[in-house]
Amino acid sequence: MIYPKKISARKTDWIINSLVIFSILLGILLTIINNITTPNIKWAALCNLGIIWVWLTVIYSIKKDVNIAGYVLIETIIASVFITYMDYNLDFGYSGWSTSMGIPIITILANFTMFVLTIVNSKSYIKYTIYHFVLMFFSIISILYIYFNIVKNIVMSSILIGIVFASLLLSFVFCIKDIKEAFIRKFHM
Amino acid sequence: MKKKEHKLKWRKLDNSAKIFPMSAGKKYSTVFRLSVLLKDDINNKILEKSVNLTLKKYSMFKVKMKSGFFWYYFEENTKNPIIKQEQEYPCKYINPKKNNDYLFKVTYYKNKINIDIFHSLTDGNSGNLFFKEIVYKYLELTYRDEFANEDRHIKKFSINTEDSYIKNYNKKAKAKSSLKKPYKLRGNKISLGAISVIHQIFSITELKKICDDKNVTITQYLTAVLIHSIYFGNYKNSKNKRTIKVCIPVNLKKYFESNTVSNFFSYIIIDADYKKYNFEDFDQILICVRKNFEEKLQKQEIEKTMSSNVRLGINPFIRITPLILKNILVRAIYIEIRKYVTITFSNIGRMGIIGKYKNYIEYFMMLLSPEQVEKIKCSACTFEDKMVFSFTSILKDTSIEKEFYEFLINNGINVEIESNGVLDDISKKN
Repeated sequence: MIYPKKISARKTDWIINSLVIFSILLGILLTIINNITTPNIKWAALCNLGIIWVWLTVIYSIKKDVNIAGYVLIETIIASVFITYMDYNLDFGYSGWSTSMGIPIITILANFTMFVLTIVNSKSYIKYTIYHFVLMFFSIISILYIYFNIVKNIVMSSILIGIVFASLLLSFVFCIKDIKEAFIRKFHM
Repeated sequence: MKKKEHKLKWRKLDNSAKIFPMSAGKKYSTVFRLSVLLKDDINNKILEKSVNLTLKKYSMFKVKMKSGFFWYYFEENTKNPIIKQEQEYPCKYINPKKNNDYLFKVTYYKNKINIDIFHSLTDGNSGNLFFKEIVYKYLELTYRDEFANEDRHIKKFSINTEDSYIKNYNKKAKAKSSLKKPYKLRGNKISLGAISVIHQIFSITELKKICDDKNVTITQYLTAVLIHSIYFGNYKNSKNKRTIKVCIPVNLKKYFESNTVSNFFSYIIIDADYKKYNFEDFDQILICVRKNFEEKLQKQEIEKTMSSNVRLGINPFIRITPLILKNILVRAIYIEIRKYVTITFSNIGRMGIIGKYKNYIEYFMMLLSPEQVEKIKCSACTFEDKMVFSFTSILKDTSIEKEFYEFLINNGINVEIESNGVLDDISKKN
């Protein structure tokens, strides 16, 4: 090989198609859950808008070659603060949905975005590991919520914790060599 | 004592270079790449040193681009270039902000050195001189004992290089331009801005024998094979039967006096009209290509094309238009102009390497950036007996590349294939 290994066009198409199907199924699933559990509060619409927003951001960043991971992280934080404010300050007839549903779903989406970026930028695993770390702190907040009984429905938070730790582990597996090199470079005596 | 301030040198862009920064962007990078495959793996520290030493001689490359009120211009760059391991696709847009303001990028991968050059800086022939100097320096620093007694004469190229277009411009020469739209390659594009690279490597001796039998030059023969491949790989099943137009860049230094290491090239357009020639018959294509070359590759004809382009750059109305407006106008006009070509094929020719240096080199490669309008671009270069014909493409379909490969094989030429694996079906062919 005289070129660095790049993901083939066929694999890229497969990944994109799978993620599109996954996003659609996720959107449908959330709508169904929403209609069964809390039909009065249309939180699934908010989540579906979030999914569309993530796709738009990914497409834009790939085309414009911007630091999408940073953007996604900032958006995750802003969206989490925003829905928490809405949840506890506006009267929807039911509170606590932001911590039990909203924030975990947003963080899961952010995680998937990081994962897509890691795959697309196949040589930049280390760049995204740092963002995975930050998302891990988000999931630690979810653990604390569960521990202090702040969250009434722990399903989404549990899924989030599982996904965040699994993707962090995957990132580590991918970039262990790079991390080792970075350590040697930064801490040489 | 007061330290004397270093006065930054600057120069105007040459006539051809003026267009590129106005029209270039992420979708149209106007970047070309030269690569060399050495026999041993690359040492990045030595490569960095080689580039810095070469820049001392070739200071016209040690520049950054700045915008003036009417035109862009080059200013001396005081930073050092960044040398990195290859990661991105070749010929991608060079973002000066991420590249210490440089308009070229040197990368390496295993035993390969690449240089991606923004076309405003120079053309393929002069870029080749700069690149070869980096390779010479790299080999001298790596194998010190071997080259200790080597005394090469290295010409210095200052930041101020002549504009050979202006020097050789003929006011009276006017070119007739065809407004007939050409055939456009059809097919789905590769996702996420990926670029496929496929190199077909073969013996120039084997090819030369066939060309001699057919009484054509190597460039003429390969252009005909390319048209043949486009016909069977893309054109035949299309309802659109417009003329296939192949753009062939021409090194003007062969026709005019020039000392520049800046841009000095023009082009000829080979028109292959389906209504006039039977594309099923390769000999008919060859006749068409040879006729086009004979008519268009004349000094007078080339002068007409070159002078028409210069005329635009020196037009008083264009000159007094502020850059901000020029950018908008040129971008719009250039999108239209680029639509008048089906494909570009650039043969840079033989990469002359002297003496013992040859022993450390496998072969050279050249790549052009494909774009939305010209979805495939082709280039060729030769080192010793190896000719490397390269396809850079944003199309998912590899039929043209496969037709090209099969034609050469069927005509008794052994072809070796290298690729970047984006379109993995062809890389498995080898």
